[in-house]
Amino acid sequence: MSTQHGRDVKLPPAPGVPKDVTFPDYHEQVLGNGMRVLVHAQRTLPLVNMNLVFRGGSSHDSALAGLASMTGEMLIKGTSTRGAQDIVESIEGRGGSIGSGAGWDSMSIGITHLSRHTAHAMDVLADVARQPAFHEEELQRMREQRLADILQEKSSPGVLAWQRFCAALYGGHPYGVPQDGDERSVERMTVDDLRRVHAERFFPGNAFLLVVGDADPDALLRLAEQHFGDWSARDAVIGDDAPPTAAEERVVQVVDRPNAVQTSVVVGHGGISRTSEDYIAVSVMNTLFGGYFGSRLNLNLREDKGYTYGAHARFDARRHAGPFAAGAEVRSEITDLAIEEILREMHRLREEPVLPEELEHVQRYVTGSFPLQIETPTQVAQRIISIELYGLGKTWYNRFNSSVMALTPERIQESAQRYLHPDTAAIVVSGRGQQLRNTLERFGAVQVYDTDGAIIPDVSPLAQDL
Amino acid sequence: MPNGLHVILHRDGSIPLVAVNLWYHVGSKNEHEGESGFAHLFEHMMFQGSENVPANMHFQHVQSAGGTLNASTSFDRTNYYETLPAHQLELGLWLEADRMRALAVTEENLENQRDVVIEERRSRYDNQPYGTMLIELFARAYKLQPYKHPTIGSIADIRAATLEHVRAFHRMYYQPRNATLCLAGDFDSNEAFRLVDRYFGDIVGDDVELYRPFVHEPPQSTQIRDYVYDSIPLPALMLGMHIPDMNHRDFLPLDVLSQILTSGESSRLHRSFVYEARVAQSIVSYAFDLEMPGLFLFRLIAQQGKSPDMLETMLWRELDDVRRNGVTERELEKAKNRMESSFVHSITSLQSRADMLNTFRVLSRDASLINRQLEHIRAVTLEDVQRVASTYLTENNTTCLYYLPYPKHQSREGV
Repeated sequence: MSTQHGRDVKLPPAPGVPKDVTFPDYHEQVLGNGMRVLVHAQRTLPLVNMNLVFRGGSSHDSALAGLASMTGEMLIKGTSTRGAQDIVESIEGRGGSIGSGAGWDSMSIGITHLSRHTAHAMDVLADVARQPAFHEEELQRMREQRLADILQEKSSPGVLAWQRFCAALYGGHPYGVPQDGDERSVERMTVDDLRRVHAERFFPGNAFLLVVGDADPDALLRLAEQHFGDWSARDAVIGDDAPPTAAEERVVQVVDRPNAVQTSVVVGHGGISRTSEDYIAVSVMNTLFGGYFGSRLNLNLREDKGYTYGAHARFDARRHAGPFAAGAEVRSEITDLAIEEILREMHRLREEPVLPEELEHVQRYVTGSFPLQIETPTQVAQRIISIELYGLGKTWYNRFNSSVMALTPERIQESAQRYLHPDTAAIVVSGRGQQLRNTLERFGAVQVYDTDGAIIPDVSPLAQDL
Repeated sequence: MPNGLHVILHRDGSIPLVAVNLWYHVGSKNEHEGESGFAHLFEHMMFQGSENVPANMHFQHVQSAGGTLNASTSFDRTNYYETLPAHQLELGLWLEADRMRALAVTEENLENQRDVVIEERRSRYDNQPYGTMLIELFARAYKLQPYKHPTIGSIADIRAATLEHVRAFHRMYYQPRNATLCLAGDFDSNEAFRLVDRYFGDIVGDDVELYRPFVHEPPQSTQIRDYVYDSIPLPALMLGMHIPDMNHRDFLPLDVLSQILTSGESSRLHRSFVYEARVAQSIVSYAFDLEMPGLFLFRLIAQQGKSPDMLETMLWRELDDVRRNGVTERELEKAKNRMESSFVHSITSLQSRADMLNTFRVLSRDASLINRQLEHIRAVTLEDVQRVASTYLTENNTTCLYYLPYPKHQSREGV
């Protein structure tokens, strides 16, 4: 159509001039006992986000699966002076929220509140970090909740496929076991186990307090000094967790969900560490492969074939190399075709250099959407935590855009050759077991499991003949 | 604007971003019998090409400009949104204007998106434990209102949609006088108005009468009860009570009541069901904010070994207590504090601020209500809360659904 306003609408308008974006700087101070206090003031809305982070997370759970996350959650379930309900009531009553738990590499307590309640929030934060009670009665409550959650997960197609995939890749290493534990480990956990984790990891030198939002750095430091200053220093470091070894051979596993009307597919293998020098190249390679709507995987499986509502891929980068996984929930009848396409796209990225225009699209997407990644206090906090936890250095995010723009088609291909392994990738699905057993055989010997993890033998007439 | 497009500008230069948020006042309630899911399928078609933007290039343009985008369809409205670096505002306007002016879709695109939407339904509802609870509840609670069919639609109706139908839908609903455009972020207002006029000013809509059903559902006089089997490990209970529309004076008190009952671990019912009696794994409630009368919902998932009828008995006992004795001053104050803080949280991102402005404009007819929302929450009294509990949370006004695990011998069917 043309134009009463005298313009050409056929072509997209030229962009204006981009504005510079820099990652927010933050103040850093250290208390006498070694605890670090980091503050990024962002005073547009009366909100504050506080996180107290301790090094060492679920990846240290080799003796008892789910221990770090249970210890983390139990921190706010009572202290020597406050009951579980008092804690949550006092924060929620003021319009805030409180949570605690464990990631792979850390344990943390987070409180978000209106800034007029910062002093109270700090008081509660110090109390739950320093004097958690770990009452048996509260642990029993949490056990029951967890057991019910675990039962629930056994009806969730995505979770079933994911947990089996992790087990296939990492076996008994914590990366291969659910972060929240399983029935047996949850039953076995005692308050003494929790107290031991707390005693080992919760000391000032192993912690940093990060405050983002409507806060004055000096006032905040005084408040932190008042609540944490008398916490005795300890001359210790957290021991290293054992690095995982990911399996490097093709396995084909099915979790049987007899009433499934779709198949959840996960294809993948070991990935990359968050501290690797290749991290940026690999994440841009993955964005192009399966990390955004315009990715090859999504355009192929969704927009071209209509197999799925969405296909995606991800490198889960932790201190050690976590899994790489490509996946989708697909129409049951074409499960094998969808897997074939995923493997084909992995091969293609290794074998052919990407077109410069395609790479440029992705580079512009990744760098251009960066301000969107640091829009809210919570987002800023998450990124500062990564910088601190993985020792990336304060300037990491400021170098990010130029590192992305410097990537070439050769570098992307090199990354694909090094980090994508279609021939040995594990193929794990949840769906209708009997049907999938037959159709997936072309990828390798198929092992079918029930939702409790027990192997279901092949009882089809054909199998009996063999 | 002269062509009927309503424009809202909200300036905030704290970060160089701009949110483009465009609402069309059409949702699944505008669908006729046999057309369920059409508004949502149509939303997918809006990404399948327009006069100057080939299929899938919409995503490509926005993402390679460093933006993010999506769209969603509800009972009452459909929204399209992009968040872009501030210097790409014009691109967002060009893209939205192009597909408002002239959609260019093909039979092949329609076939493909039909498949995608059917998989979407399976991923989000049919293949998820408890995924169909809302659909099943709404289907039983309403006799006449179009809310009785789900936004995602039935697979049969999705299969029946035609290209002609897609074009007619665009002609009727996707025109300036049925749309509201909100821009929020870092821009100069005069320049923004000039650009909006440049891209949207010459779009002329069809002069057809919009189909806007307003159906009076007769009051419910006896309880409706049913049960559904699903692939779930723990049984669940869902209740829905008829309540007024979101602009009625009783709505905000109902929203406050829902907060008091189940929002946060220290809320009244979370504490009694999950923490103290330990009979439920979870409990949630929600006052469904709709343009026509909605529902007040409860969903409880039983703890291991507990039954839905036990949960139901206990729930009615708790509700009876609220109806007779009301709630405490402390509970009311806490709920207001939580609502205030969640309001502040929801305006931390430009896109959600823009979407909220559109909500007030399109569904409540006045965008400036955003500035009085906190004041209105603060004005709710103990008497209001008790009154709405007594009026609406009654046995006869309730649709009650039990979700039960398949009996053991049935669960292997279809292997």
